[in-house]
Amino acid sequence: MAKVRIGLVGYGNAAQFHMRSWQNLGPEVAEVAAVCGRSEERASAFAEEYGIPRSFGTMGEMLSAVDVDAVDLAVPNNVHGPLSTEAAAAGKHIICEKHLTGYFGEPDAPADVLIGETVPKREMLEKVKAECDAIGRAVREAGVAFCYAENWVYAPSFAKLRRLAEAAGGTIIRIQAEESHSGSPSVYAKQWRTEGGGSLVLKGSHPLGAVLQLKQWEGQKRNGRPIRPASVMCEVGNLTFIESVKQEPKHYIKMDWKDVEDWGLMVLKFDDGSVAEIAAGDTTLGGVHNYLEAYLSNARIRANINPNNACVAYAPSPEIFGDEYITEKIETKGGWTFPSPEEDWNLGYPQEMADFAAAIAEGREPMSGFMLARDVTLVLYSAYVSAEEGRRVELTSMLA
Amino acid sequence: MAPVRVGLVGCGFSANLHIEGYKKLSPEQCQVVAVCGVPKEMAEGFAAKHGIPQAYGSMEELLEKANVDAVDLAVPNSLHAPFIIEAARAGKHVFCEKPLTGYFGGPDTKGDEPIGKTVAKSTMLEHAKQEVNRVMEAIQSAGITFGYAENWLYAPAYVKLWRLAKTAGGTILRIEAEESHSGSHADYAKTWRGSGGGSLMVKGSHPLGAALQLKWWEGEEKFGKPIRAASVVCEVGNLTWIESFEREKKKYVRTGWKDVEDWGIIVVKFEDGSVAEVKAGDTTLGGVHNYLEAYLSNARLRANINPNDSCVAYAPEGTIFEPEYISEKIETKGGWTLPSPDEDWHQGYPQEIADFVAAIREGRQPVSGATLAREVTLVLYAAYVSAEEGRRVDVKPILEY
Repeated sequence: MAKVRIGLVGYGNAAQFHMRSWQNLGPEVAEVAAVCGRSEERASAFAEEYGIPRSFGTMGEMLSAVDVDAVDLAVPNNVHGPLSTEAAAAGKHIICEKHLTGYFGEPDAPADVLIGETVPKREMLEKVKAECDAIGRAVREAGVAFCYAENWVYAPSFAKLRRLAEAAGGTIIRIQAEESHSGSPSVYAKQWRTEGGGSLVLKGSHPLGAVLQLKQWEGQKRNGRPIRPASVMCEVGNLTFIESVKQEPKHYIKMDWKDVEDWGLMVLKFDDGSVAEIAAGDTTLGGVHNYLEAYLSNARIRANINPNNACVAYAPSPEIFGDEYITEKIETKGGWTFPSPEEDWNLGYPQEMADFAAAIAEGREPMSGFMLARDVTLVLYSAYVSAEEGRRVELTSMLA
Repeated sequence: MAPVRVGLVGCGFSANLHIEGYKKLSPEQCQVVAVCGVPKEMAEGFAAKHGIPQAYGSMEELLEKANVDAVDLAVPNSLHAPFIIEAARAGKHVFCEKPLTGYFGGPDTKGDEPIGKTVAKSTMLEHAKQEVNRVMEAIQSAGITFGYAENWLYAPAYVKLWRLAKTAGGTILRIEAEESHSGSHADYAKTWRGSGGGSLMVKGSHPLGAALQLKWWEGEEKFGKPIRAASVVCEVGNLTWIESFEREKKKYVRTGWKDVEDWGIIVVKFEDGSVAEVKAGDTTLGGVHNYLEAYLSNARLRANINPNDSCVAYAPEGTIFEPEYISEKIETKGGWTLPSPDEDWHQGYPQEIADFVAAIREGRQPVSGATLAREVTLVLYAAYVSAEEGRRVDVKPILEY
């Protein structure tokens, strides 16, 4: 199998864990040949830290100077669309962090306008759909692979769930899934302008991606065509805006959300009549809460991505475990805890990159590809329409 | 004080459950002095089995002849409202199985009409509201003690959860609660006529009642007035009607649902902005799944009513534990199981009976009373309207009384 040459775009948090995954795979599978980012200096520092041969200030410069097979877009959501289109036009395969795209406000809108409160969600959905379709066209015309970095699809416990579901062969009649924790610390996560939504976009997209992939996969196995969502009903809320919460003297949950929700729930109905309940929140104590449970007609399977009891610990006082990592966003190391033995592996980060490298080398679709990326984005914005208008939103014709 | 004299109305599944609760109390506290049922022979058989002195063929006869202080209504859902009103008029305290009432068809409904498909849910809600208010008036004007058999309010894990929530003092931001299993065996559960709804009504009323009560208590604790539901969004479905499921040769999940849902979810928004996600299903394998989780601003609490791991067992084959009971609706005793040490106790059945009897003796209302019963019924029917019309329903005007 040929080695895949990667051009990494971005040097932030996502770039770091992507880099760890590429290094994990080994140089015979993938090689990060160059890195680029808005600050050439920071790109160069990143290159030095990880032993990447070249660094650039823009993706355009990188692509004209270095011969890479694929770009890995580890950049903020609002540039995924334009960078994907540019990379496709240059004939490069694309690895894209979630999300495919979103609505981040009009280019000429003043920076202090709270677009989550002022722009109708229906308008957002239309614009996002147009952008998704444009990226889709660019990818199709260039004939490149689009790899959507939804790590849940590759998380080992979810992969095991899928294998068990395949062995059982029953119908997946209901899925429950959630990603929650006690709130993103970043100010960017708290406004629509930077993230294109709140808890549902930032956290809910993971369980949503896994749910959609599972039903797509089930349909492919059974009938040779994916089972796709038919409607969505959604409710969102701002639980940190509750008056009595504001008055509490000490806050354990992150506050100060601007124009985005801090909790949301989507109920999907699929075209075969099955359902999914997908929850996301920035108001949940106890560390990251990531799980998916599938109720089959002849089995029941739960993937506890985080926490799970692979390792269980107890400490009468929080300082006892010192600097040793316990798990993401846990508020205290005291009492009973569920330390994550190896979080990257558990979350499917190295596994997703392995599939992407193999898909590119073999010229096949990755397990998490463009259809999933597009469906996730459009279902999310349709869910926002549902919550805003207080009614069920049909999906079939939009996703076609 | 003289013991409370109870007349048991009905001799089916619920009556069996209730009688076990009364038996746990001393004869100085209460005595089940009579039972009635149709046909009378069944009541006589039940009386003989449980040592109840008198048996009758109707509640009317029981009220007339048995000199009871209270009646326990363990009868089909559609009879709750007329029986409560009749008993209240006779000045008897009432203990009633859930739901308080509902829509079971009108006077002109033909016996086989699938009313779940033919009658608009908004019509049902209107009807249920009138019926509920009639029942409330009867209870209030008679000045009786009314016990609503919402056992979740008495389940020890739930009681502990509320004590912890009260102590923590944080805001209850979000509640998740569910009651599910692999399907009711009773035929009446599969028609709207028999149960007044599907999974949400038969199962969902428990987690819904427990969720509404938590916010109610929180409000009383913090502001001296309850926090009540403001709106609902709901989806229902028939997962056993999925084509690929129907084609499967062997069915582990119950089928044969007529005009009622076999799965549903209600999303409640409360007046203070907090939320509850209440789920119910007749399509869930693995035994009864009853839990409530409360997400507070400074704590997180979970009541695993059933299953919980107070006892954990493993057997390489299902036959090994025969004939010992494991837990309700579990499909196999093989593999890892979570046997319930005392299912009635975990579910709060003896506790609810004890509170009802104590309430009568102390001249107060029980912890689970008419107010909650009314709230649950109306929120449920508002949820059905939401699912049918595909829109959020404002429940504030519906709950006004």
